[in-house]
Amino acid sequence: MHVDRPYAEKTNEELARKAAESFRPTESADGIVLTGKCPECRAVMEIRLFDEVVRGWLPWPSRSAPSVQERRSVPMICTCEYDHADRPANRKGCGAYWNLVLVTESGDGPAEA
Amino acid sequence: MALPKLEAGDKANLDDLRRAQSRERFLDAELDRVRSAATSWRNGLAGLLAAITGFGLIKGQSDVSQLSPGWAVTAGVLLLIALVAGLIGAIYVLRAAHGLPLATAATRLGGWDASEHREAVLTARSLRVGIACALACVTALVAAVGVTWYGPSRTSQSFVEVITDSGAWCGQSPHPTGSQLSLQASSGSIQLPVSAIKAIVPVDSCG
Repeated sequence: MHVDRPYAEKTNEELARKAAESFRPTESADGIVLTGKCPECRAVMEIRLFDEVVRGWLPWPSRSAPSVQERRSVPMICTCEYDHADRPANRKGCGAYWNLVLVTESGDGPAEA
Repeated sequence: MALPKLEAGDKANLDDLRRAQSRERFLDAELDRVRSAATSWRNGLAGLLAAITGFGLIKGQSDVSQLSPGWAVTAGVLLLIALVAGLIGAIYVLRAAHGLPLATAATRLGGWDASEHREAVLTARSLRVGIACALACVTALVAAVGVTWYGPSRTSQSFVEVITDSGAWCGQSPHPTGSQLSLQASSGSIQLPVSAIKAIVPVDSCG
């Protein structure tokens, strides 16, 4: 159930701990999508962790395989689409942010693009 | 690809917040951004092609049939390359600018955000191929126009009749060799003294 609260950019270690329990990674064609509930407003949300992003000046894609790190820290924000009071026009979510660490088992070989 | 396990990270700071917000903004706007770029490229390449085509009409011979046979074939091949590259480029650039009307089984649909990203990546790739093909088309077109303008014309290999005191000889490729004029006639090479030549008259054929 979504918790309605004014937009506020806040973080603490408890948010990261709850997110680590709530979020689940799924594989997509271009990387990984983390799906779970925002540890602050409880809205279901997704975080896209793709290997490449298309930019305006159209770079040629890198031919090298995406780097594989055993521990990769990922900054996350709430991306829910609910209205939160006082939210600036160019922001999304409730303002909560935290860090998650993606732990890849060693010996899995390089990830595919 | 093995899926990672998730652990709580260090306490986030403002840099982490800005990085995450920036990543989300990039991803949210990437399809619109690449579609907009594709539309601009489409208009620019169409203008370039129109300008090149218009430039080709300004001067110079435009009839391929006036070229000597070998050069006419070269111009034709270049025009064919330009046509094929132009068609492929147009399809790819239009696909990038407007997408393809495809139907997908609803049961196979993934997440909306991931689909948008996939479409953005495919759009960018289509645009790159389209740009390359359009530039190849322009290059081949310019080369074809150049060949048509500056290639040797069919008339440069026409026949001439050389009139001398002792008669007239018809042949091709007259060129002086010392005090003689060499002429390629159907019966072979003829040597004519230059001092005896009264006139050289171009003719359509040696009948």
